[in-house]
Amino acid sequence: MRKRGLAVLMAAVLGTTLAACGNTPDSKTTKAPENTVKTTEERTTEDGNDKTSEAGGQEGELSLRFSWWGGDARHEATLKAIEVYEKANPGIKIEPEYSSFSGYYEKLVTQLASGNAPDIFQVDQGWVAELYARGDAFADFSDYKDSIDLAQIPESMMTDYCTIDGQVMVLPFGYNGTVFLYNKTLLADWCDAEGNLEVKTWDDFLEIGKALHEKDPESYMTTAVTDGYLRYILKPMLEQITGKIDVQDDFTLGFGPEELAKAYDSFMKIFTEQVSQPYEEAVLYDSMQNNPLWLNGKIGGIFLFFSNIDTEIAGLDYDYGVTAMPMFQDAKVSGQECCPSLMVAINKNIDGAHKKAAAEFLDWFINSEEASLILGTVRGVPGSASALEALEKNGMLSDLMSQGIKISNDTLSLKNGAYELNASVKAVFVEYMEKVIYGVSSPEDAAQGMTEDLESVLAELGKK
Amino acid sequence: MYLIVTLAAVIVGYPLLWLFFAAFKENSEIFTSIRLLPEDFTVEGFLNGWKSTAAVPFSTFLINSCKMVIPTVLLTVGSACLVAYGFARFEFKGKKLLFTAMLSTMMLPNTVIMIPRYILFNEFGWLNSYLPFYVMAALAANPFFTYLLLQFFRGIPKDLDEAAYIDGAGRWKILTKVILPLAKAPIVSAALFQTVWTWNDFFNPLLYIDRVKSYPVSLGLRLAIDADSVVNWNSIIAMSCVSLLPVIILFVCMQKYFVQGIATTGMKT
Repeated sequence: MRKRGLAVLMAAVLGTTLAACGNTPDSKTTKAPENTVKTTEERTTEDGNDKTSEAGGQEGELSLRFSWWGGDARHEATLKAIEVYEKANPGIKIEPEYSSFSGYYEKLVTQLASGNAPDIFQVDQGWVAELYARGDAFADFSDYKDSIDLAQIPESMMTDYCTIDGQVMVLPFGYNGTVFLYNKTLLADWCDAEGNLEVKTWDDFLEIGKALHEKDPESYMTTAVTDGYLRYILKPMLEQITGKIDVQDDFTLGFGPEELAKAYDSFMKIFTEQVSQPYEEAVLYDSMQNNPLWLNGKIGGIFLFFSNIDTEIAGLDYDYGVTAMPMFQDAKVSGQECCPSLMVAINKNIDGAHKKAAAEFLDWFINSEEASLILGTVRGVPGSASALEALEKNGMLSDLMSQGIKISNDTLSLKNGAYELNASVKAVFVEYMEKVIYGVSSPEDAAQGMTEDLESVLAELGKK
Repeated sequence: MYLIVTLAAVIVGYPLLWLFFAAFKENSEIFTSIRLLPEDFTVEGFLNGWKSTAAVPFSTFLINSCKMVIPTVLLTVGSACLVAYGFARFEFKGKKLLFTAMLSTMMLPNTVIMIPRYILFNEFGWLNSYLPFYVMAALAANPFFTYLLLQFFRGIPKDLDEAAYIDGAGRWKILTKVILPLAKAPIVSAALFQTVWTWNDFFNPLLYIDRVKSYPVSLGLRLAIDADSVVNWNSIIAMSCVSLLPVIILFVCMQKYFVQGIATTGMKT
């Protein structure tokens, strides 16, 4: 009997501590869930019958959750834009949910799985195909054509990246192209009278690189992070050889083992000829901003997206220039990635009123001059024509960025395959690239193994 | 001998030392020089970091972390003691089965329960509050601590319980007057571990908390780090130092018990 009495007592104690803690910590924390409940209630009333919404105290108050990742500048600018929008549209409340990139995707997928995803969310281009395959993520923007002007987005971008099966699933915030940003101060010997560097071909690139390293053994022509070596050097080389998209949307490869082996041969030269910082050194840093060689002006130049130019040279006292990617002599396409940088989607699982309000907000956020001037290039060079025009008109693009945009627009390039940035596809690319770099595999063996592995990964993806 | 120990301490402590001094460096100096001492001391990192960006001052993150950690730790210790006491001293039906169930949850990888848990908490409407942390702690959902205390309780001779029983103590009194005072060391270790883990936990708060105003330190610190934008490393490093302080102070104060706790339970982590 005593035992049972004690057990009951323990349960009671546990229960009270639990209840106490549920209430005591702070009224704010307990209020938060109430709020969420309220919004869902509002939603159901609006969903069912519009007239009943008047019964609620806050008439017409509509709240939209907007989530994004980014750094300080992006958070600040976005919050400011939201504030301006809320002031101009009293009925709309926008709840910002922002974080850093790490964990963002995992969280988004979890939220989608439980039907609790934000109304508007930022996505990376590489996730789009995967999220679309879920079937419950994206609302179709073309249903809200009256609320949002889709014509401001260049048509090629719409068809290549935004439209899937005839539905507009995502819209680009910004767009990007690969360019070569070089340090004029370090490469002065190889620049012409106007200070421009001529690197038309990979041979030029290697030659300058070799000469630079001989002159100053501490300096290298280029460096990159793992992802950079793959996306800005190896894959462009491969596309220049084949003239085709590496991973095509019908789950086939645009290259064979021989072509890949050829690309590996050229790629390895940047390491064997000491044109690039040694790989094992370069990968210690997760961005240029903490690579001491780059910060100390010992790197000739880096391949990067033109949207990132200002970030990478912030706080550095050297003179910089931009030029297009080097190409093989007989190459037809440049292999540069010209693609949307960050994209945005509206949650499919919200009611019509919320979707419409979200579309209206995004129209202002993406296309309007007012918003573009607040946001500047915090999400890259704007994909929307009207926003880009607003920035150009107001001199908000740096010279280097404008040059980068021009160079990239003038270069013929292929679109990114929908599955090219898929995590499992990329993992195979990185694995074999590193095997070759570290000398574990010969280019031929790696080419063979990689093609086989990629084919099986793609077959798996294609089954879904 | 002392020389070797000192040397080892310097090597182990160097990253922390570097972190501390880097907080006073200029942003451009952090990754460009390998010198430990900054060229000129600046407290700018602390000032900027404390103001923080994005409309929420850093103090909010610290307060949030405290709000999250303190109840969680107290509840964890309380619940773990009760459950461990139950397993160590009582015979009841299904004890073996329950014990196995508890142990098996310890083996369960976190990733497996992540989504079901999220869905559950979402249904309860607990998201955006610290309730998921409190409730899990109150229900001894971290079997590691239960197991730790259980092993220790088992090592306390039953004769002590019986002696107390003869003197008229009930089951409850035996726990509070006999067992808990003897188990001070492992309880402190459990509390310290839980403090550090919860304080540093990134993923769970990330999942359960959407509003930046309720972010704990671990999330707040990451807010400013992004590959595509300029990162003010000195303010991030300065704030890392600030966020380390509470844990370090706690550890120093409780060190005596902590070391004892590890020694007596034979736990290695």
